Amino acid sequence: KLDIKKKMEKRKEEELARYKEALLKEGAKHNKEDKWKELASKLHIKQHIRFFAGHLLKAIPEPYVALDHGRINIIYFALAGLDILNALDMIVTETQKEAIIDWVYRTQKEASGGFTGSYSTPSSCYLSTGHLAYTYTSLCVLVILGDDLKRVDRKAMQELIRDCQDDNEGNFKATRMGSEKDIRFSFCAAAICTILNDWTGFDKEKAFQFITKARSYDKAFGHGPFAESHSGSTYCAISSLHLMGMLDRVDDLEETLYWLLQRQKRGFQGRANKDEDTCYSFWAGAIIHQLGGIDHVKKISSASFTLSCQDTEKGGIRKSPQVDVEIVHSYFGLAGLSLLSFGNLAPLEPCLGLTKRAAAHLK
Amino acid sequence: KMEFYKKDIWKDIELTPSEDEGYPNFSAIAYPSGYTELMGLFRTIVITKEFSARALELTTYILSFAYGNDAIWSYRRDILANYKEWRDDIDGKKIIEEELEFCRPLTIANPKNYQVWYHRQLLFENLARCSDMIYSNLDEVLTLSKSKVNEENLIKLIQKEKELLEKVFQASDTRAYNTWNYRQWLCKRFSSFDGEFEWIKKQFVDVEEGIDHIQNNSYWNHIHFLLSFPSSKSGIDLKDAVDIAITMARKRLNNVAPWYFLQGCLKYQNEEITLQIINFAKETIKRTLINAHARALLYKYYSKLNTNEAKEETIKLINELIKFDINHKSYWVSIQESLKKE
Repeated sequence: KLDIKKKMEKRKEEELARYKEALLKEGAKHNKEDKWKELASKLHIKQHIRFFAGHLLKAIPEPYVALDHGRINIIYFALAGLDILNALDMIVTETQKEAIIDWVYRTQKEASGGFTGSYSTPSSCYLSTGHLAYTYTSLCVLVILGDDLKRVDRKAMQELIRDCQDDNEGNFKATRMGSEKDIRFSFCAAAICTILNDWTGFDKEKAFQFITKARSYDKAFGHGPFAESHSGSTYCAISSLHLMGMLDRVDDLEETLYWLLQRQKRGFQGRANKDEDTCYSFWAGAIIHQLGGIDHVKKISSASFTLSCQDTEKGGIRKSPQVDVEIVHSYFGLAGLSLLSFGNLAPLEPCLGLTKRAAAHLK
Repeated sequence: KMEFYKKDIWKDIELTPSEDEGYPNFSAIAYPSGYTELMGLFRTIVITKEFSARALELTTYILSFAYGNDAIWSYRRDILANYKEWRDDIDGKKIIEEELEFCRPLTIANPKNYQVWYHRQLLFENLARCSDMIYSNLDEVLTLSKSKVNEENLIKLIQKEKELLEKVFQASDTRAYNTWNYRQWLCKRFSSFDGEFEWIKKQFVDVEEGIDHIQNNSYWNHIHFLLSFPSSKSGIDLKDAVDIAITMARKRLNNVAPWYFLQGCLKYQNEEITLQIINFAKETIKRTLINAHARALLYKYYSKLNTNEAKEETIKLINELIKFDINHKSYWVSIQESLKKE
């Protein structure tokens, strides 16, 4: 019994020491403003602009062949990244904008609906089909470039969405041919409908039922029923509900917010007790922002982590300090900084994946 | 890969370029050697809906560049579904088993990919229905009624799949997300819960190093999954689960994973269990100085009750959380403010 008592006392001492240390850190608040301004200068804007421009206008490295069938995503990340850096007009000429818009529309499946995302499959073959994720990023690209969306076949689009939604479960597959049906595609469908302001093919009630079932015991969301709660799925769930106008039907959102805030170490984790990864500064950060809790984020810590993942020569942002930069984490790292009102980065419409500037076209 | 398109079997096929040739290109990938040629072959033979041995092999090579290419996976499944056109030595069941076997190494090597798991799920669903035809579209398979299924054989196959999942964990890590979802699908779809509770206990409860795994949130999530089915099926009931959670939480009072689980168990509104959990939280507060998890759990519990005592506890807990949950002080302050408003 004496042994246990000693252990407990020792534990309490250690706790007290940690507590005092943490208090000291909190106390260093009067330096915060200066530190924040200093951090803003540490973003290598010129290099990042060059990085995104290169991924749009020049040849990109071999490993990206893994994304070839959905090349629209690379175009999206490049343009969206430039947009956040307020560098769109600096880098992309009017002629190039028209050419990109044309590139996108030539991947549209008229009659069957949606966008294919690339030219890897011939358009006349039976496998060529609209894909919900690539349709979402295609529409984002069009909106970012100021296109009026008049060439979108809206009727066919809603047919695609209707055909992709499961009549019973309310979840979505990515294409008519079939795929996994998880919460990512609920988000893509909701975002598509939001951008086109047309929900005729989208059963909101059924979609709501599915998203609700994807909620875990800790009030965050997984990819589907019983799946482990995940920052990415939580983004898809809450964004969808917000876009659907049904967020007010969800209770315990403060608990979801707390779960997301707990995902911050310095940067953010995707799941409890996993490693920090710059992209979660967006997935988690966007919903923290949406739920009104962005001021609870340790901004200096999060921004410092992202900045430590920059490639200060080539530009771009890594997932974590140990790996190479690539465009996906470059975009999401920047987007995560924008949510913190970092420097002069363009503010975002968090649940759409567009800057407010771009989204203004939708009004 | 590089040499495959040069083989004699392809000499009758002209390569089809992609349709953006001649247009201004954007995000142009510097393709690895051989890729363009293989895609060129694909673009030609897919127009004629060729289902053949050489087409199957072609998809194997193309997928090795991009396991995320869902169109190629679809094409591969159609080739397999039409096996009668190009193989006369085999039946539907065997073709599927061959394919499942073939895909094992690439599944182990690419567990974060979604398509490899969907492919397995669809094939396995076909297999379970023991039909001589195979269907390339999951929606089609699901409308089939189950034909004569050899239960014993199915159990063996499911066991083999679960062993594959273990290999995936060993090769990558025990948090692999799609792998866990696939395991859940197997359990749920085929009511395959036998031994599942023992298995999860072996991972982190009954082991020496179990203490290292207390923080593995995927294990806790799996226990919750098992709990969501009647204990006659899953072999686990709420009491077992909570006993385990409290035992493990005692070893790692500062880790959030077992506390999420315990807090989640309040939803069952089982009087005895709830009391057990609440008492454990209170005990933790006595034994430690500033444990935030225990207080957050108690806050969650009391804030839902309407008694005066509960309201007092809630206020007291928020004050303590503001003091002790230093990382989230401003959050608790805002909770306190909204409570005052109410």
